[in-house]
Amino acid sequence: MSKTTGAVAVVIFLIVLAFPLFYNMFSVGVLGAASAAPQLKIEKPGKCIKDTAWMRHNHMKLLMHTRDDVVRQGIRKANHGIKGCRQCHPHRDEFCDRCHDYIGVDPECWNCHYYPE
Amino acid sequence: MDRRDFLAIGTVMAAGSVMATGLPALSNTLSEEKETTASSKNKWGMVIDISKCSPDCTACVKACGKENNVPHFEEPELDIHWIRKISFKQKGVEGAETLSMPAMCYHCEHPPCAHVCPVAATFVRKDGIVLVDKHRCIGCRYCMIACPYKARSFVSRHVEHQPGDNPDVPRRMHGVVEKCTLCVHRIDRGEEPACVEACKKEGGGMKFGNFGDPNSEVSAILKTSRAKQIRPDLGTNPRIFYLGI
Repeated sequence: MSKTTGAVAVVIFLIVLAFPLFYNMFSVGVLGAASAAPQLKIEKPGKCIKDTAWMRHNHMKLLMHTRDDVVRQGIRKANHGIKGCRQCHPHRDEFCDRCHDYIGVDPECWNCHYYPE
Repeated sequence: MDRRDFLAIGTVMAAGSVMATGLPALSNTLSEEKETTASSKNKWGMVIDISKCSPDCTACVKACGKENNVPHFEEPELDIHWIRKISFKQKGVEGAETLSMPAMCYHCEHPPCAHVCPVAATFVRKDGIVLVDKHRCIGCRYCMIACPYKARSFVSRHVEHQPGDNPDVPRRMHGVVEKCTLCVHRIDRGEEPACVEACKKEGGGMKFGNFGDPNSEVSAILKTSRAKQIRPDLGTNPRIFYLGI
C-alpha cells in the first residue's frame, strides 16, 4: 500500500469521525432550529409557587414530594399538584411536553393522570 | 485540657448537634400535622342497612364506577370490582328470603393486605382508610390472596383514558392492584363517598360517618342496634357494619 492511499484513508476516517460536528454545524444553519431552546407558552403570566429557575430544575422533585404527601398522608396543598400547574399552563402539549420532548425524557405521569383541558 | 474537660465539651457538642438536626424536623412534622385532612381523630366507616337494599338496585355500583373511572374489560373474570352486589340466603332456614347486599373493601383496623405487602404500597391512612399507593405497587398480588373479603382487583389489561372520565381520580396502570378508596378524594373535600350519595336517592341503606366521634350518627347506630361485621372471628375489625344480617 502506497503512502498516498494510507493518507487518503486516514483523511476519510477523520471526516467520518467528525461527521456529527459537521452535521450539527450545517443543520443549525440550513434546517434552522435543530437545537434552539423550546418556547413555552404561558397563558397566565404571574407568580408561580416557586421562582422560575428553581422550578426549572426541581419541579419533578416537588411533584414527587407532593404526590407522596397527598397519597400517604392526605396533605393536599393548594396549587401544588398537576391541577395547580394547569391553572396557568392550561395545555400540556404547549408546556410540559415541549421541554420533555426536547431533552428526550418520558415521565410516566400521563399513563394514569389527567391534565384536564 | 484534661480528660474530664475534653469529655464535657464533647458531650455538649454532641447534644447541640442532635438538637440542631432534630428540632427543625420535629417542628416540620408538627406544622404538617395541621395541614393534613387525614386526622387520626377521625375513623371513617359505614353502616349498611340490608333491609333497605333491594336485589335489583345497583345504584351504588354504578355511581362508584362513574366516580372512580373503574374500567371494564371484555372478559368478565378479569373485571374490576370496587363495590359489588351479592345475594345470599340464611343457612339452615326453610324458605329463607334471598337477601342482597353491597360488598366492598371493609377498611379493616388490622388489614391483612397491608400486613403482607412487600413494598408498603398498601397502607392505613391516619383516618383509618386503607389505601393502595399505585406508584409503589409492583403487582405481586399477595394482598389479593391475603384479603379474606375478595375486595381487591388486579388491573390485568392496559386502560386508556376515556372521554367523560372523572379527572379527580387517575386511571390505573396495567399491573397494579386497586380497590375501594372510600372515595378518599371526596372525603378530603368534606363530601360523602359516591355510593352513599347514590344510595340516598334509592333505599338510603348506606350511612357514612366517623367512628372516631362517639356522638356521630354511625356511632349511635352501633350502640343501639345489632350491627354486625363480616367474619369478625378473623380479627381484622372491619369499619363497615351491616344491619339486618
